[in-house]
Amino acid sequence: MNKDRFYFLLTEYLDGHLDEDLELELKAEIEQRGEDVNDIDGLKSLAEAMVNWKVPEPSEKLKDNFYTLLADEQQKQLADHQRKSVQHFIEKFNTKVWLPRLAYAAVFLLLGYIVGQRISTDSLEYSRQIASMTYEMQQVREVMMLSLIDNPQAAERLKAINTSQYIQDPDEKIVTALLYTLNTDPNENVRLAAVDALLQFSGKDEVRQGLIQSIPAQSTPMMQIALANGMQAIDEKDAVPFFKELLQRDDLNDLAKNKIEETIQILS
Amino acid sequence: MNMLKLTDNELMMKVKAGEIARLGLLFERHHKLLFGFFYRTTAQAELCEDLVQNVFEKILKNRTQFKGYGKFTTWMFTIARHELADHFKKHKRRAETTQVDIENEVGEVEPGFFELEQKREELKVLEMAFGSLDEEKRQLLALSKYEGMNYREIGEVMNCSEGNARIKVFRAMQELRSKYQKIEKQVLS
Repeated sequence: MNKDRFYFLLTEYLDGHLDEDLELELKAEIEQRGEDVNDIDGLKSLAEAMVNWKVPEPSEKLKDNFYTLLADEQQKQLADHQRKSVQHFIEKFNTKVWLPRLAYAAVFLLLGYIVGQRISTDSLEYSRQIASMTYEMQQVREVMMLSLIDNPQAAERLKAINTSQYIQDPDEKIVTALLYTLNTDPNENVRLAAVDALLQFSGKDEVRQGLIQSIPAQSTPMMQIALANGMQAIDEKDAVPFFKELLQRDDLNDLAKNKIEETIQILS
Repeated sequence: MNMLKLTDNELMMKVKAGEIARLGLLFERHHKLLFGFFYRTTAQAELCEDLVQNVFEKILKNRTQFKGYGKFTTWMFTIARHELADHFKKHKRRAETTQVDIENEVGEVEPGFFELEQKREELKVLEMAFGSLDEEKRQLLALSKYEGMNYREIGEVMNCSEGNARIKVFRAMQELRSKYQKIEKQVLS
């Protein structure tokens, strides 16, 4: 057996990838070389034990630092683009205006038209790039938000919800995640933050419906009051039957009861 | 376009084309992997975070050099290795350990290895043995056993052939076991 084949079998064996036939081939070769088969088994046990060595999680500071770096770089990129656009325009303008000294007035008129078109095109391109970068940043924020919202720590979930305030037009995944948090999160502060976040997107029908549907599911006065305030703020008349259903509950706190009655009156 | 469905290479090609916000998703996908690599090589969490940040800074600065032929992670770990080498060079730390008696060998272990508490005895011995390996062997084993790289990719990162990568990883395992046995013997005696 050549050297390459021997080390191929050895490493594959340590990684647990060899079938029975190849393992027999390897062990026969080890014996033929006058070496101890037990050594390779010892190495395999060690390789298996290594799996148990876990490393700690990096701190949040790492994420913060990275996103600061990215934001700085984007600012630089934007500033650079603006500078180049201005330079480009000035160069074009100088060339077109000062070189044809003997040009007729009509040429200047035509030139004015061309420059006007150029400014308009540059401005359109600039706007397009801004829109594209804004869209990308929104997607990054969505990824951050979705990666944090399942975190076992309430502070991290709060951070996720706070991130959503920078998302202008959330997609279905974000709305679903926020509604799921509103209805199931064990921490009241997180649920309250979810109400605030969802109210920002109340222009979406699925958000309004989700908020309304969650009214009967809320069992704490704070959440009931927050939803009552929210429904008033967005003038959601369809919430009235759900608040009436809530009023039937025996365990309703007086403060919450008064707020709900007031909300029903305002919305009706 | 759903950004989440893009491969690492597709994302990096977009970063290269100027859409630098896409690096955020690559960071989300790989920063823990990179942190793990540095931690197993240095065992100092704070330093590892700095090194991860430096790697992503280099990726951003050198984005136009990404060709997209190999895997993004292979390129990332190549930068990580250089970053580690620069760090040790700057801090004039000796990257290689020497064959001395066990007391001295243990003395070469990074301080962080001793600070890991409440772990099983065997795992502690393993960590100490790992920490006493030289720089290259630690990197080889970290890439092979923890970062899920195949030997061709390890070869690319370590600048050698796949066959050589297999030999080096196997020898690193042999040395790790030898150090493990020595430390275990010392602990038990």
